[in-house]
Amino acid sequence: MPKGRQIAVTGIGPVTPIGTGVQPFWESMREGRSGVGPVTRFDTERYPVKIGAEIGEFNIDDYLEPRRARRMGRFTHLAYAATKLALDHAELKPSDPDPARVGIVIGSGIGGIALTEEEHEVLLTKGPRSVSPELIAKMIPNAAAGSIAIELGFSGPNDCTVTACASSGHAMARAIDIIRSGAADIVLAGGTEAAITPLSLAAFCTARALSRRNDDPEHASRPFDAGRDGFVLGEGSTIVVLEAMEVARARGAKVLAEVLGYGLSSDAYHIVMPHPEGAGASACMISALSDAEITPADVGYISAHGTSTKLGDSAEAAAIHKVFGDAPPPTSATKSMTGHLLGAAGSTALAATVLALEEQVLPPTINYEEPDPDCDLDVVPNKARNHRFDVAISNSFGFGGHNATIVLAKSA
Amino acid sequence: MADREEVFSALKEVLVDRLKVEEGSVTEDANLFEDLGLDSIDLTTVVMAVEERYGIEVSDDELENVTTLREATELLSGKVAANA
Repeated sequence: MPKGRQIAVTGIGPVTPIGTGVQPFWESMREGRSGVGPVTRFDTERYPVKIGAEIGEFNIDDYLEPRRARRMGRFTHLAYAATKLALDHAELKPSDPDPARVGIVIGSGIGGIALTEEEHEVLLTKGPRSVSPELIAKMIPNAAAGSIAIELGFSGPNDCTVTACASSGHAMARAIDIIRSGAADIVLAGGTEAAITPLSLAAFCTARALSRRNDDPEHASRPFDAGRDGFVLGEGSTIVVLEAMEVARARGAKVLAEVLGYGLSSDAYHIVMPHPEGAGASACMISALSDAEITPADVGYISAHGTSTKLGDSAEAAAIHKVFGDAPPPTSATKSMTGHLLGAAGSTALAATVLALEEQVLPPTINYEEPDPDCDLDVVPNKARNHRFDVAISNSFGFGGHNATIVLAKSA
Repeated sequence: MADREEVFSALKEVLVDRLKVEEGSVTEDANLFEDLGLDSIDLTTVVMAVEERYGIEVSDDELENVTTLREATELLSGKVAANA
């Protein structure tokens, strides 16, 4: 696809376990705060994992009329709030741009699984005639992108990417294509997830994917640490405003960072296990650098996918070494603080990367105590670090073997 | 035994509590679609709640001609009476 157009990030809307809105979110990142705690949404007594990264205070009524909000599931609520925050941050009123020139791409790993669970219970206890006629419209993963277009009137390209934990990485890649092609000038892109539910937690438990540090939740998510024992299930949404540079400049918008390009690949290996040498991940990063027309030496920071699983982190470390050689740039894993937001993970880490470029501060990998020889990286352990750098990459990998890398540069 | 007034109250309750319709706009003469902003899925949701409450069943064909709250009340209270 011809590139032609430069792309700016002009707004960020994080709704996350470590903060809602840019200021609280970034302050937590700088302070190295954990968003992990006991799961409060339902009784976890029979679960081997009782911890998660929940969003604390969140009330959709603060963002949307109840009459409108009731047509949406929680994952759409989170995305709607994140979108409004991102638009505010970009100083963009929904009425300002030509609505046909604004697109929306919001990914989600599991969409409205909570609704599916609730209505399945209704089916079993009351029968098929009692199942809500709203279920399908609310639970489909594309309900977030669709509903937000309905509420805000943006009628440009509207899409949903469903690639598990790489969903929002793919959403941003799709958004870049849409802007480059000229099909829209602005795309609201990111991901959303609200999957801390009885069924989802049970399945992640039996799959043995999650940390079992129930007695010490704040230290449970420890990417690249030798003592890591799985990821922490989180929820949230981050939406970013991507905007054609000339359009952003013309309206006098503050450019937070520039998007240089993206790479995509597949492990083509196993449905949940990463390729042990990170072959798909390294191909993805190389493809991203090529699209951005830069070399590994230009990259000053890597925002790792780093989920805190044994296999995932060591495969990513291997991939990073393959691309960047013996001394890769500092590489931190913000999931150590946010937990794993699944479909919202990529855009949440990207938001942190944008702020890192702007502030020239690297968010830390917290809970890093014992180095793992299989993850021989400078992980910016435990404390945020001042760092002069111009270019960063942000990785997202997902079940299914999907890989996405986004390349960002400091605003000129 | 539920009378007409009780069925109207039940409908109102679902409209206000579940569908978040403005309470003041819920009158017998209100057009469900134009005045209360419902769509066909909303109407089904409301009717299902009342069906469950009174153990009645309304067919899609019967709902076809319902456009006002008065008509919905008539239909449902008729069903309840027939069911008594």
